[in-house]
Amino acid sequence: MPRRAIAAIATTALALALLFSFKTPAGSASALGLPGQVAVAPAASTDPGSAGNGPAATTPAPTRGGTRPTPRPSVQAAAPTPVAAKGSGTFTGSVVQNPFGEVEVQVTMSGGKVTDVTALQLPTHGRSGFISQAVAPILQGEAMSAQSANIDIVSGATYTSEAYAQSLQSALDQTHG
Amino acid sequence: MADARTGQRPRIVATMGTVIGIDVRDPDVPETAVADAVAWLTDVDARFSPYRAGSEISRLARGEIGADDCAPDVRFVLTRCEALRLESDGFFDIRGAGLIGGLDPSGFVKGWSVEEAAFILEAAGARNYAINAGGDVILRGEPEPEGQAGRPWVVGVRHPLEADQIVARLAFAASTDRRAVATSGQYERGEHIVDPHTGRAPNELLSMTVVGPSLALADAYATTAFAMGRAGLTWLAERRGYGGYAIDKDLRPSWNELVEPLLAAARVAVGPAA
Repeated sequence: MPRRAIAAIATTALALALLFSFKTPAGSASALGLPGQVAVAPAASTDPGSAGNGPAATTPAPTRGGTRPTPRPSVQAAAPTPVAAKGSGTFTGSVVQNPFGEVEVQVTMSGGKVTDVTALQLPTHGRSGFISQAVAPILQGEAMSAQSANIDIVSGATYTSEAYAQSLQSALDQTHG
Repeated sequence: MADARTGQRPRIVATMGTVIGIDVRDPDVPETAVADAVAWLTDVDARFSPYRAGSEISRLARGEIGADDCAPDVRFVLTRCEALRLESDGFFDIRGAGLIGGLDPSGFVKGWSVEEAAFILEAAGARNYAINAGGDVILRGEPEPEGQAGRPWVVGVRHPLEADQIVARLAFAASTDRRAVATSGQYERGEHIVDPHTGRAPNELLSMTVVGPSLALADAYATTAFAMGRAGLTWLAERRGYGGYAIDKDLRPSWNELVEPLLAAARVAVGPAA
């Protein structure tokens, strides 16, 4: 299959995927090694897609701080703009409508590979109760090393006092001290 | 991270079976405040630990004293734990044959007592601090109040299988609100969490991280939602102000909507991982 065709397929697939996913900002596409995310409705909810922008009757009470909904995967895809020769460049997909508002994504490709996907426009209103899930698991070696992650503090299952010496938090405490 | 903070070094204390780090970033908070917080935590360990034969909890479990004989804060903890048992449909339960002494309120006591320690720091003027109790965190303000002002606290969530990696970063913008991050999992201390409905260790998740305003509740909710497995995030969505970030046994992350802005803020605040 010609490379161009592969690139076009990849771009379309990403545009499809982005109807229900959005990525990290440009340059951080693999910051967490998370290739995207999908929204799944909570078990207690009836079909949220049918509720439009209004709250579903069975949606749990709103939670504080969650203002940006994750688009649901039940929307038709819009074809992205044409793919450049050799599958390189930045492409902006069409604005698509989903139950929460308009979504527009930008796909960056290099040498036929998707290197970044950025959400240019996301709905700003929504409901609580939605759960986002990464499309793929975090593969071994994909996660951030603590040294490069620029974190102040580590949350994790409670270590024993003996295990603290080998913990990330111990390393951070020594750095900060 | 190299930073320009001017406060004292973090105080590290081994208590409650783990290590607690008290990190006050205000330059003018007296060291006595940190010492008072450490003394409080040590006292709580002595009175509440089911691993100490002389603790009030152990004596209560053996029937040597009744609940009315216990200190007011012991009675408070027992009352709160019973409320959590009801709220969680029995998933959070401090009583059971599988627990040490048959009575182990540690799943609430650590978060609660560390939150109280934060109040001690605040009474002495602390406004910018973080306490990490073995992986359960309470924080306020900002990490560099006099240096890179406005920088948020950034909390890394540990990879459940690889001890030197993190799987997510949560950024908390400078605020006068206290924020808590608590994580439950079996990867540090073995299968110490039991689903009281099955009597077995929960196996759907590798870790559950809960964020919210109170560490006492975030800690208890993390234990609860971990035991619930995949249903835990849905349960958390009904707890106003609280959200979760779960890693399932296939290493697939999922999270509540409330967590999404924290993940996004971390990407903005500190950029991509190098």
